[in-house]
Amino acid sequence: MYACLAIQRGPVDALPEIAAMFSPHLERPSEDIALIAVYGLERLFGTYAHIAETIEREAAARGLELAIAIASHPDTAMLAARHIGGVVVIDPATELAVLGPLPIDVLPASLDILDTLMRWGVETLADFAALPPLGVIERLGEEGGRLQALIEGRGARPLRIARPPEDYTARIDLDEPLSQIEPLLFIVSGMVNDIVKRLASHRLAVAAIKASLAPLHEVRISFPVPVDDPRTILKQVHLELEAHKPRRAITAVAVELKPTPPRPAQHGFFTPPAAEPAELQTLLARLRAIVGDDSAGAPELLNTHRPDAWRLRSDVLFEPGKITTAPAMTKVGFRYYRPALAASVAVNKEHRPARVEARGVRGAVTTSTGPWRSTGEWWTGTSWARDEWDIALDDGARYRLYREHNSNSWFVEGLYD
Amino acid sequence: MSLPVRKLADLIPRKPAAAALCPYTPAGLPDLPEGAITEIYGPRSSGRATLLHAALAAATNAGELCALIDAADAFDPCSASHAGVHLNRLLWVRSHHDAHAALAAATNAGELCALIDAADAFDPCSASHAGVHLNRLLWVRSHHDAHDALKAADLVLHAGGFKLIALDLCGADTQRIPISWWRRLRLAVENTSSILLVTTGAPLLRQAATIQIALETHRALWSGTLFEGADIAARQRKPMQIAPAPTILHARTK
Repeated sequence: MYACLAIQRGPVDALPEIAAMFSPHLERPSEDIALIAVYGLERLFGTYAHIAETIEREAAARGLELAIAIASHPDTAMLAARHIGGVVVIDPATELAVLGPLPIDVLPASLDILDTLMRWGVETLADFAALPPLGVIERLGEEGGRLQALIEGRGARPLRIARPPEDYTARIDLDEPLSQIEPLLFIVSGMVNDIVKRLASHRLAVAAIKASLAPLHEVRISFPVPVDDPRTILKQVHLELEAHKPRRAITAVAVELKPTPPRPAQHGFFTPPAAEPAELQTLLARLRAIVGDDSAGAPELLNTHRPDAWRLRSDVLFEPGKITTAPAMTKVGFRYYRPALAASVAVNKEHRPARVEARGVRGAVTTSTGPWRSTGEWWTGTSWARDEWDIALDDGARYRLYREHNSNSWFVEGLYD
Repeated sequence: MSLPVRKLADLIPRKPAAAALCPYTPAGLPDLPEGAITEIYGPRSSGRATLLHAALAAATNAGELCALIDAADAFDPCSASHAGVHLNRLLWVRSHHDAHAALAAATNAGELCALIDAADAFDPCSASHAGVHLNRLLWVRSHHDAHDALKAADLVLHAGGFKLIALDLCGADTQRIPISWWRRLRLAVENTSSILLVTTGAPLLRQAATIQIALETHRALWSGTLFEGADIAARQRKPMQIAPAPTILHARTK
């Protein structure tokens, strides 16, 4: 049997305390309602009517006025507490008699279903319960069957126990300051292993780790997919510490893991395999240790006309592949000089580039097209204004030149290759 | 009693000669063999990036994951996307650090900085333009050996999961790469289903490459005030052909 406690008047904060006095199994569908399991309490308090009276008395002592309903199904108890009020004890198999006179719009159903029922002329819950169950399921789907079962107190469901938010952190104050990474990792690994075990017992994985290394250092790593293997997490921490070594000896370690639901892994049978996200993340960390931060990832073009506008994504990478068709025509490739090469450009009488000299680029211009004027984003700090030229030099190489309006300087932007 | 002596080469399992071929090159050029290295080389504007983009486009359109190790930080995502490359299936590793931004930030914060210029490519003029305070910078010039790019390629090869791994060494100083690196990469790619595609300015890989394609600068198409495209002359150098006539490919900007 389940009891539903609905607040009629009084402070909402006192409700969980009162519910916890009678049962540890507590569900909170909303702030003003608490559902508790009351089976087994008969030995302590007597009949269910006595249990309800005791709850009401305890609530009144704390300044709360409650509507209390006890029924064999938690949703039936909630329906009675919300819409009947006072203290109601519904014995099994008498649900319909108690709830039947209630109007149909009290049902916790979607607006579409309520609208349909009203158009059918169903006015009370008793009218709805009188409809043939098979016909209701045929017309309203499983939801219709569930609603009928709710009125009649049929079926059962477990309570969705409201747990207080877990604290997935650990802290160790060291006896001696540590300056080496290896012993530090040994300590972190024990903490991470313990927390990951706790997370696994709650069917959770890790979305991010924050390791605070007192007095100054901090490691923050976000994983693109939920990770449940402590070795992967530790490898990431190791690579991060190798890349950014603490500047001072460590006196205390605090580890905090951010929980997330685990990743469902289901790929298409005929699609090429996707990279294992945890291994990919480790690979990215290793690559960053070699080439530097923000230098490895999947490129993404930005929605702007600004030249060379892109960003590297490293959060969500590489969904399972789809097979598509490549363009039939080969397109000319372009290579950038990053940064653009400052150039000395001689112009002819027609103000077209005649000779270019830059670092590694030198020669007379044999062909040129332009200028193509391009400006934009003058309303932000990333504005540009320039004239572009496509040129061919006497050695056959083809470049893109541009002249910046602000500085009136020439640059070689890149190479058609 | 003497112990049997075996050569190291006999102990390393070899892939059979008939490796699977992937049609990731334009028509007229040899397909790319799995578990082997293909080298494409040529001078500037000879079509190296064009062929690289075409291979990446074909592989990503086949749903494969690809990696690009970009030694000179020259990859243009916009033109690659225009060529059909699915950027969300491409891992781009820029092994050329954005030294200017870091130096500008540090020198602007009043820090003294030292630049060990492995590529000997530091351009004080453009650095100053990027905001670097040159009077707070110690510039140490040395020779670039592209080691970062090779290390990154080695890591990606060993990680697995990538079908096409492109190592773009165009623009990087490749003269000091020890030959042992190519041997190492060849062993890493052997017995896998990955393809290692190396693009360079001049032939580098010697015996390590299974296929070698030489590119030559060819005719460009200029139409009025537009650069419309270029033809690419590609010649297969390895495996040797009796009369290696160049294959002419037409690449267009639109």
